[in-house]
Amino acid sequence: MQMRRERFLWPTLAVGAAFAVAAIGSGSAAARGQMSSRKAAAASLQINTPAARKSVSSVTWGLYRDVNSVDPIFGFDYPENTVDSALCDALFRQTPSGGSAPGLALKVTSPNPTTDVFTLRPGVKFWDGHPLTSADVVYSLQRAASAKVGGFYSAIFNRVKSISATGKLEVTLKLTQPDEWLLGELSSLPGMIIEKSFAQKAGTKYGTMGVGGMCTGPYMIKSWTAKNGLIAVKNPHYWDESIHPLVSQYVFKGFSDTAMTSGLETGAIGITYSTDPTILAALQHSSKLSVTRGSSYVTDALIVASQKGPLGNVKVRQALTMALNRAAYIKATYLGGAQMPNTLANPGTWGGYEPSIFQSAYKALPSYNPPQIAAAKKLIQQAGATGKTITIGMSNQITQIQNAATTVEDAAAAIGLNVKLKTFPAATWIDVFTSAKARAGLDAFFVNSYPDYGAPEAQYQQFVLPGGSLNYSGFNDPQITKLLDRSRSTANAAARARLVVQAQTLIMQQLPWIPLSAPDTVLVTQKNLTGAPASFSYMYAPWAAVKLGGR
Amino acid sequence: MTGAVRYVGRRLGVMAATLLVSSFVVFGALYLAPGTPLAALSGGKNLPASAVRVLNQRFDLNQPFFVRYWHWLTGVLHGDFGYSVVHQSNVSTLLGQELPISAELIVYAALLTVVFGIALGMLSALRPGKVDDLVLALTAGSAAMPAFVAGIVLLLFFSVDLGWLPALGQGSGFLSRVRHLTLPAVSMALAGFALIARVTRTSMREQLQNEHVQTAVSRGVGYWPIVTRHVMRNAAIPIVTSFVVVFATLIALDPVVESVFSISGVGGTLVNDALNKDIPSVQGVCLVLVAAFVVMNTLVDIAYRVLDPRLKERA
Repeated sequence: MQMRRERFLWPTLAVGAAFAVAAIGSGSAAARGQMSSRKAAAASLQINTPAARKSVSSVTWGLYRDVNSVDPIFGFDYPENTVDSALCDALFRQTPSGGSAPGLALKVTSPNPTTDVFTLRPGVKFWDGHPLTSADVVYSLQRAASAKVGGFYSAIFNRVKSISATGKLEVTLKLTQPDEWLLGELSSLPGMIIEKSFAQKAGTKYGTMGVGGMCTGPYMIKSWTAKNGLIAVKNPHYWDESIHPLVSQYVFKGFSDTAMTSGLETGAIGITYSTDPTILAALQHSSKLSVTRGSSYVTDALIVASQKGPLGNVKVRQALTMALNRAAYIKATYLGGAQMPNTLANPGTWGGYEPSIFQSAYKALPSYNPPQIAAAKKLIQQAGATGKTITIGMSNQITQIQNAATTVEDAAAAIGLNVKLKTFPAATWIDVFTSAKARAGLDAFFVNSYPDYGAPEAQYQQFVLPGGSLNYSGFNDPQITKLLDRSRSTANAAARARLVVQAQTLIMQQLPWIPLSAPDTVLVTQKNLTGAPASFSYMYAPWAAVKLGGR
Repeated sequence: MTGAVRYVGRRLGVMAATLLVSSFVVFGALYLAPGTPLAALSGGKNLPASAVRVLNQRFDLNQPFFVRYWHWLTGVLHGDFGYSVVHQSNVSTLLGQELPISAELIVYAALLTVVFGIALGMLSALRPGKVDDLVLALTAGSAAMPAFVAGIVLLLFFSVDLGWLPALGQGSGFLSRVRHLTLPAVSMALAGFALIARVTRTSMREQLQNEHVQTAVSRGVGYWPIVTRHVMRNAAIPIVTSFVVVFATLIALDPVVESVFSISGVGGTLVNDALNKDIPSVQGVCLVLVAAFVVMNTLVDIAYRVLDPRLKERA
């Protein structure tokens, strides 16, 4: 007997309704949930900015560096995510509040737990006018799943047995085990669909400057040079008739910190989502700019890089967590624009499903504000770690990391630990993440990380599961792994959320990372521009590009 | 005639040798530095092992040093400057787009340096007293100002506060290009301009006291003929020599200033590309810069011979 489950329907409806409410100005359920947990930042935190009314001929979109590929499976960082989201559609579409809605797939049904049948949206065309068919979707997904292509997302397909077209507008995925996480990932870059014939012709050069790409998104590439950046114009074939983009042309270009600041202040740059809190102080008092803080997926933490040193003892990790003066850190670094990290997933990741379950779990966990120095000191003594030294990797050229290091140093000193800082130049800081040689000898180093879609488990799996992409210390807690594994296979959203919450409670006891803050998304636009959501959705969905316009 | 041919031939030989040695040194230094260009693709996120394997092979990153250098060198000899992993583009395409902008900026800055440097130097040499003092103070100030500080100050004042000139980019079309490059060129020119002015002043003063000038004055030769033919001509050699130093400084300042003003020339990305270990991209830019420097030196040598016939006789 076949069991038919329509898994996608309810979150779609819920999020759609919430989004409609948000649009008329009272805030979505998810957003309201988050609001109540914020104190200092509550007044300024929002998702939507006032709707735009006027058309604008050209807007320069400031990125921290030039985009290097428009191939979604090679997009792993802010510039590529931002541009790909304006150019390409994924099978599902993340909403501004972090939920999921139909994208190129209208729905997914499961005749049995290990089969997902995607019904594709009819009438969708690529920029060149060719219709989207199941062949394009099968090609794109197989390409993303293939380890031979070299894409960055092949691991998320590890429960996929086969991907095949079962109709002109129907694609069927056979799984080895049920996989709820995959559906989330397919609302992100690995779920973006490119045109098969174009990509086959381009070969390994697909998505590069000389060749470009071919997608179905609301904007299409007009030109792309090192000199002038990537220039995108409206796609005349766009399928979503409810969307009426107001900006005729975007210029996506990378700028250094100084250039970003002066470009925004002189009006040369129209919009940016700031990834650098240090330029905020200069920008937020400018009479020409609007700075809006919104919900985010980002977690700011100290990665425990090695279990061999004092941080291998869970009591030491707990003590350090209890002793950090996060309120002062958040005030100094983000000018207040971050929340207390009761969990290692930003509250902005609750938008995907069951926000109320995640919210009450978050509230039940301690925020250690103010810090509990005496109790922490006792834990250090119990662990026999008093006077021991931890070596922390940092870059004193990155203000945020400098502040974080000072915060950790102060906390360590107060509870009887020594800290040795190993500093890296800002430019080689990324080597810490990619080179074991650069990490050698470090007990811990700082990170800002975020998941691909709105779900706390998407964040956790990166560093608590064995083999996770950010699991540097080889952290392996069988109970946490089991709970997350079960959540991955659990179709019922509430049951899934409860499993994640159970794992989360253990994660916050075990502390494979030490949480520092949950920073907000920071949207900066010229005063005469408005409409872009101030949420992390700019990384995965076209809302920012299609909603921005003149005031 | 054969002398000239031999001279040019020798010069070209020196240039080829310089390029070869410098390319080897740059390649070796980047090769030895830790890290991989793949890190720039992911913004430092840890890439899955399968992706690293495939990309290392695709971009030839796993080969030993000499193999990679040999591939690169033979490529260059066939006109192929290699592929930039960080920019995902052929290096020759990048150079083709970016080089003209940097060349324009450097030439613009060089013109400002020479024109204003010599003019103020002459003024200072010929008008002792208050004018001279003023020029000395001005050049002392401008020589002390590093280009990146000058750039930021000029940018804050003329772009952000007054809104007279654009803050970023290079514009398109002649007038817009000049407007965009003015502040960067001025910030690059400040230090060099001071040096040229000082050297012009000193060497003109020296010539003014020379016997041949005194003789010309006593014979009733007019003021301007004396200044241009008897003073400037002889004062020109130290000025030309200092220009070589200034030109080298302009090349060195180009990356800094391009990044302050977000100009898409070769320099703006050079520093980042070097840190990202994008060897072909850095090599391409370095080759061009070294070649520019060697060519400039050759031109100056020729200028010496024109200015001082004694050098020609000696050769």
